[in-house]
Amino acid sequence: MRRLYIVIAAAAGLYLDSVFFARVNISGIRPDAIMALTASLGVLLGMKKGALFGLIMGLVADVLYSPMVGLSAMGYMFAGLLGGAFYQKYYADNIIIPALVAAVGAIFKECVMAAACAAGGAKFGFFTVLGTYILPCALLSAAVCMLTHALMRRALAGQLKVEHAYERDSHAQGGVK
Amino acid sequence: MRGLFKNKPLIIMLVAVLLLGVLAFITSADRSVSWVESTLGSVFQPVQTFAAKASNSIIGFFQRIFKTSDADKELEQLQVRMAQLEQAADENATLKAENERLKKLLNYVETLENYDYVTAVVTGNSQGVWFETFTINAGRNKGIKKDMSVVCADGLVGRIIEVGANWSKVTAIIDASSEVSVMVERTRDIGVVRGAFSTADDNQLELYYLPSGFDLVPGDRIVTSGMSSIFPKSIVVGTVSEVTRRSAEGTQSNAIIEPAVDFGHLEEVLVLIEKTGEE
Repeated sequence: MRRLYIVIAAAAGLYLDSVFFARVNISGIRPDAIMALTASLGVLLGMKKGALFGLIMGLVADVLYSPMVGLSAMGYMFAGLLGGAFYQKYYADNIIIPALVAAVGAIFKECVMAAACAAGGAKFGFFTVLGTYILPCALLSAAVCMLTHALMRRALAGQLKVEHAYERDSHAQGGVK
Repeated sequence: MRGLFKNKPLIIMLVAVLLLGVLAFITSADRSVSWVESTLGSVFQPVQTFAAKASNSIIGFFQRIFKTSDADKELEQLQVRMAQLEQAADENATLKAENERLKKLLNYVETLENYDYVTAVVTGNSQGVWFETFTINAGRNKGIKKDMSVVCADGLVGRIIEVGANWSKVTAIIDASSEVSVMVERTRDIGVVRGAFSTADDNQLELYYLPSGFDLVPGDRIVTSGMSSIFPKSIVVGTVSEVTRRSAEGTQSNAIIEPAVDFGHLEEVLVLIEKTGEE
């Protein structure tokens, strides 16, 4: 069931980023739904799963829509890893941590994109773009992540409880995970 | 330092970033689409097409609701009946708008004598503002090849950069890496138009390399020159919105061009296929 929820969420993220937010945005400023989802899953499922999810989603998005394959994957994988660093360190209902992860991940990803775009010959002032586009997008991504995290936490709640109980038992028995 | 090399996640991250960087570098060059990309695109294409069409209808429906403020007041008085009528009118408007768009496309195509065409629906856009690329639901199955021109009823859209089995990626002329050989319709002066990077939705182009003593005024129409092997001659690119440099010297652009195509609301496009001599 958990996998089904994740697949549905991933499809929704792809749709939102490639179709919906491309048409509905605030003067070009748009949130990154896949980034929000990756950050949330990193915090909920850990570093390995978060990074793997980010990598797969990034590669799919790159192959489908981007002229360069690998750039988004880099950003999403980073967000998954960063989110995983907070795995089981905070209460699952803390929505600030995933939101911060999404914001930092979005800034990282957009900076990677900016570097690639500049290498391709585009002329722009980095700090202007940082102030007028990257930071507002990161803020929107963080806001979307709060909503996403609340939904995903609820969707994955049963599975997470089982996993946490299993890990507690393993530690109690001195087993190595 | 030794501890750093024992940090497994960090090492994996660094190796992955390195590999992805190499991948991005390789894929940025001119190349053919790999079978993995082609298959992945083909699997997602039907879903994308459905999602894009459904989304366009839903967004169009809400846009019409917000535009009819007078109707909203009447709606309060005649709630149920009016709602039914509006729903029917919306359905009609959607069909009418689609019909008009397709009719306009068809009329436009009839002016391109030496070209056959394939109509395609825009199914997805690249994320963010960095690259102005989008995906369409036609590929090798419709005879599309790399570097074919993409147009719509309003003018030039871009060119095909990657072709899959039933999908293709298009780079729009507003992409910062895009260059099109153009001419000023009135004076026949030749220049080059480049996409201007912008973080806002105000898509613009920059006109370069006009000959010395050029004559240009705001409102002048810019069309393709036909000097490149990619774009046919006389397709509308845009109109001059501002002349930024009068002399031929300097590296600044000669003018700012307002594209003829509304890239924010692109739904259907035509891919031009040159007719062979046998036909």
